[in-house]
Amino acid sequence: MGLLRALVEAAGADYRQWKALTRVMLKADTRSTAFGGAQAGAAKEGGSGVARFGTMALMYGFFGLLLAPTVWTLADPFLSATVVYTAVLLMVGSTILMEFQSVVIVPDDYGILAFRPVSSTTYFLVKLTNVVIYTSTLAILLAAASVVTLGVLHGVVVAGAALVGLLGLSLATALGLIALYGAVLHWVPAHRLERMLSYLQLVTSLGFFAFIFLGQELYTSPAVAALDVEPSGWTLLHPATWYAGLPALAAGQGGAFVIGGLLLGAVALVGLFRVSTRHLSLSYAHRLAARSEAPRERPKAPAAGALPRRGARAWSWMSPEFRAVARLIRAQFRFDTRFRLGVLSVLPLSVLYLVMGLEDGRLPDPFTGSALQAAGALNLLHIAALLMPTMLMMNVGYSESAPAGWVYFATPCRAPRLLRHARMVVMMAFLVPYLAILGGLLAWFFGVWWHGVIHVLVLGLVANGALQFAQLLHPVLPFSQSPQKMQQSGRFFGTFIIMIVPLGLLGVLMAFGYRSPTGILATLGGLLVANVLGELAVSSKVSRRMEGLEFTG
Amino acid sequence: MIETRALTKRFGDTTAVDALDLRVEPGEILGFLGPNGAGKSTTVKMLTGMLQPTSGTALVAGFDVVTHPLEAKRRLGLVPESGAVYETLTGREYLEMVADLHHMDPDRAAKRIRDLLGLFDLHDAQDQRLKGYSKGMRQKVLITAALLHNPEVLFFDEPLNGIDANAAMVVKDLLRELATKGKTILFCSHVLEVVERICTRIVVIAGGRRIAEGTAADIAARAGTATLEEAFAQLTGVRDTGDVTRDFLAALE
Repeated sequence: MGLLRALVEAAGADYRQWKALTRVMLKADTRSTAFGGAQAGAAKEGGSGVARFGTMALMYGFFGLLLAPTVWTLADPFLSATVVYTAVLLMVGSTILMEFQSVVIVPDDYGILAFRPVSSTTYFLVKLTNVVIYTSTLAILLAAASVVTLGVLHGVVVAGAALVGLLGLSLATALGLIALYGAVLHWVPAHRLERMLSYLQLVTSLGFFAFIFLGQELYTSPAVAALDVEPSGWTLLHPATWYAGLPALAAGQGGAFVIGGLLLGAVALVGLFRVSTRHLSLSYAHRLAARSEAPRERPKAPAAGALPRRGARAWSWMSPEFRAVARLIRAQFRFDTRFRLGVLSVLPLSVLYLVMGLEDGRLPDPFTGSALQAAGALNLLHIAALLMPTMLMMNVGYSESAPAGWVYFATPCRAPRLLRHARMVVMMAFLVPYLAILGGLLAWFFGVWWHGVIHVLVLGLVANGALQFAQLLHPVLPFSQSPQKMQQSGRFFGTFIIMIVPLGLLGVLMAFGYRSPTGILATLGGLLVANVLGELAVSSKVSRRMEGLEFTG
Repeated sequence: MIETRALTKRFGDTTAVDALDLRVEPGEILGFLGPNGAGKSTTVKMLTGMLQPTSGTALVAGFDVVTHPLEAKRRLGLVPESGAVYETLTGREYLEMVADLHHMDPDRAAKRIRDLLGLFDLHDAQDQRLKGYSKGMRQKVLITAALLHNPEVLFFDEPLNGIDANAAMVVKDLLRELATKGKTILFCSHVLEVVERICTRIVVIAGGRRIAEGTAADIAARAGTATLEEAFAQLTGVRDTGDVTRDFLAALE
């Protein structure tokens, strides 16, 4: 405790306030229900924050188990630590991008703390502690099996050093992204912040996933594979190697580059901490709060008898529930930072997969060539088509304005219809345009236009099935649940795993259904029937779930 | 008409509403009073279909809220205590959404929205997002939303929260006029003077049970006090306010 107090006070924060606020934040996280907010009925299934974290722990632990055999095979402490740390870097980075950017940049607690005698440094340190507790735990879960393996191979000291290096890397990753957001908050004028944050989210996500992509390319290229990866000047370009030097040093693999890497790692930690502290404080929360308080638009009052706006008229032919949901989703996407950032954090991955899928400049026609080859080449495009709408569908249930969900309970709307229309809006606004572009590209690449059209039809039906499944799994009324920490990344990684099923199905359909006109008709017919059955299943499940549903917000 | 028969709601071991019998006739404004945690909002939530009763019956406009929820909800309007709205929508968009949820004809809804917002002086702000509205402006939007479909039964849970004096006068007059047109109104408020002035009858509850009923004068007379405020304090077991103030100040010493 004495050491912790000394550390907190050395950072310039008030220890007692830091302790009190950190404790409260963690209590709030563990007490909040995963699906709290408007739908108490759902809360029973969602469980507590502890249960939610337990699920995440299992998932990260499972990913971690997959890394351990690589460590065992590589044996070399530096190389194996670099591989594990790279995975940690990617996982922690993704989690912060999807999850904690909102914790860092949205001043939820500003209204509670702004008028109290809390310094900016203490405020920052509390926020940082909260992020670090989560990211460090996830990093440990992800690397636990690998650290144990290193311990078995090289002894307890190496395992201990690997653990310290791991925490250093995790902290540096968190600080790096916080510093980036903090810098944006510092330099961008208040009235442009909201838009700028969206662009930043897009760019950082794109950059981050491009980094993953380039990393994959680099490590799988024959030239790099032929290299004996020893600590050297070029390995220092990769931050994970800085911290991988620690277990290497403990195993007796010292050297100038290892020491240099460790120094770089230490400098990065100190430097990023200083930059973050400078840029993220109560005064920045104040800037954000001022941004959210200030009325952004003062449109002129419409003239008497003026026609309703185009958007409103465009939906006039749709059902009332559709119009209500579409209006809400559109407004949330435009103005709810959390929702938009949640969607934008997934969008770059979809674009990247689209680009990666097309990178060779040619795509095999699944109707004429080998189905296996086609599946290999098209899988990334398929993931992009399935992942984005599914994630979006899951995000549609969550909003800071969840208490306003009372309106669904006190009006004569039918919950199953609202849910179905929410899915339709997602399909029409996001999936259909994506599939239209993809259809054009595929028709061009395949050289036979109707091959492209049919494949996109099949993909659309499978994607609709995936959306139905997402709703079957977790039916929630639009924006009726308060968002909770670790939900977005949990859903993302969970969806990624579940994606194996529709991808496998597409492979099977291409192998057996695309071989003859009858097969194609049977494929389309079968998928249509499956979609209809899915619709019935969703409708029945939602009706049952909504029966006796209560509003507790 | 609003009617509850032995309406009960339990949360675990806690009984929030305990076998409550209530009846509000068309043309009546029932003042629904009680101290914090008495069960007022829980009762309103059960009557509007937001909470399921543990037992008993809740009828709105003759329809059982549990067995015929949509029929009941078509005939009710609610201003909730929370005042929660989707802040990303503009005032007009929010009202359009509510109109859609009530299946109102879009043209008719647009005209009514324009008219009602004008009456509340919100015409100029109708295309601003609700996030930028003051608390009072939001409350006006919620009152408009509750009236939009011209319901038979109205539930007003602290409707004057944050509303300025002029708008409050409009709302009070409006409630009286609505009652004369045969609407059934349940009015919850902690502001006893307002309740006393506009409600035709008052029900006081505490611990989820009805403890007094009648006009303000009846209740005060039965409690042996001069005012409704004093009767309320006596009925709901509040200590002498002078004693409480003195104890507070002593605790700060």
